Amino acid sequence: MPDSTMRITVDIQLAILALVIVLTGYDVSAQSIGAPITGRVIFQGPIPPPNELKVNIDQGFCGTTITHQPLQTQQGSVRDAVVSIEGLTAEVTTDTTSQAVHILTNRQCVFRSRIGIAQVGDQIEIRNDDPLMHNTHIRLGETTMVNVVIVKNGRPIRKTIQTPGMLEVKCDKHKFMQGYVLAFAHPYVSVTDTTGHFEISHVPAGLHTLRVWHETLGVLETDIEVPTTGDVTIDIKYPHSSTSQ
Amino acid sequence: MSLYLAITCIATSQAAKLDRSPEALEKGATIYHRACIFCHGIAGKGDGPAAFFASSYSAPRPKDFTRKDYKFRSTISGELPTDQDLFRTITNGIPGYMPPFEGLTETERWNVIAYIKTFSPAFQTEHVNTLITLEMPPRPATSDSIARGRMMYLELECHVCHGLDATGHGPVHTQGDLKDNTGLPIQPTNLTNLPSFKNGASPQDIARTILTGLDGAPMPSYASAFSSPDTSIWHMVNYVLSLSTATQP
Repeated sequence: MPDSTMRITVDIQLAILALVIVLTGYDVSAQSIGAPITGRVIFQGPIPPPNELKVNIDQGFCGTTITHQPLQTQQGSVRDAVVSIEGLTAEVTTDTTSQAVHILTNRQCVFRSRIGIAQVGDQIEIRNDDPLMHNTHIRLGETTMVNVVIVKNGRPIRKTIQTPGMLEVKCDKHKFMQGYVLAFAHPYVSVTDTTGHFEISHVPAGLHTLRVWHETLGVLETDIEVPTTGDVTIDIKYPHSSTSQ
Repeated sequence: MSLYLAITCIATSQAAKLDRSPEALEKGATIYHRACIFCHGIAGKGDGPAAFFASSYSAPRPKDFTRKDYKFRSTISGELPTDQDLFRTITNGIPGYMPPFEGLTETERWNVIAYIKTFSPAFQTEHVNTLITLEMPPRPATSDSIARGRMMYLELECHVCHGLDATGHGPVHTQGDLKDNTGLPIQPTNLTNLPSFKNGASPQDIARTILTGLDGAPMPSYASAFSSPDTSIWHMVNYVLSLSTATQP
């Protein structure tokens, strides 16, 4: 094959590849570049006593009180803290939408999981494992995202998250039931496990703000420099006074 | 033939009658400033001068049109209302709260709907996707149907808010636990007083309210409790209708 013909063939292949990238919106940089951030969220101050939530209805099944400790630690490491990168633009995160399905189950008159993370475009699947009626009312601020009943043995319901923000989950029938889903417009978010660890993958290089939210401890922010390659490890420590407010 | 309760997923074309031209919006604005502003406010936030007197300390307050959650819809919970939903509410009013505006011509009502929709960007960015439609007429209100409806009323635990006697004094309400999304206390509807039903009192209105819920209020959507096709919703409707001595307004 003559050189000129081969070059034209290669050019056409590159053009087709470029066209595919443009048409599919595939963002090479978002997939292949970026460093993982790992670490722990730490609090070593006094742990407040657990909340004794009075059950207002269905006491035969739910009990008369529900004991709940929102601040769960293991050797100072905090569970259920949401760690996210702030200020990333939508361009960086294009086509990293996961469209995942997050399960939110009413079980033993408690939302499980109580603290969740999600991305815009993901779905929340609401279930009810209890032998009684629950309504699951998810709000963003004062606006209802969804408010649905699931009766005993009722079929699950899915709802797509359209807006980022802190979604508050309540049951209007059982006022002691409460949970949160923190929804983001990007995938750079993690929730700490039982040992307080988190991992955020493929964070673009640069100076970012790392933000931590915990139901009891509140919000903490710190700057973090992410290199083009290599790992970043960081422990984020809440001050002792975080539970005294 | 059984009633077909369809929960359909269709890309809904909004009302053909809605005119978004500058002229229509200008006419809509003129009507809004004449007829709606006193409750709903200049910017549509439900904070007009009459809103304070209408309901300062309890819900429902005048609708805040900048928020996307609407109580009176034919769409699933969390979605915007259709233009027809807005037209129905403006035409019929809300008993005890908002007068019917059937005195406006149909064109005038569509013009004011076009203007109201400019208050929330959601109407520009989101589409109405999922309608809840009732495609077959109600079942006859036989004693058997009413009895089955009462059983469903208990099984679906409507009584926890509306009460065993359906007067709106269920245990969750009497404990003071029912609040709207702004935190104001809200009273469940007295189901024995048909003319007070805010979302309408026809069989279709009642079925729609049960299936869609009232976003912004504690009343949830019961759509998942009914399979499709399903005729049992009409038993519940017949039971609710049987509770009132008053006739449909």
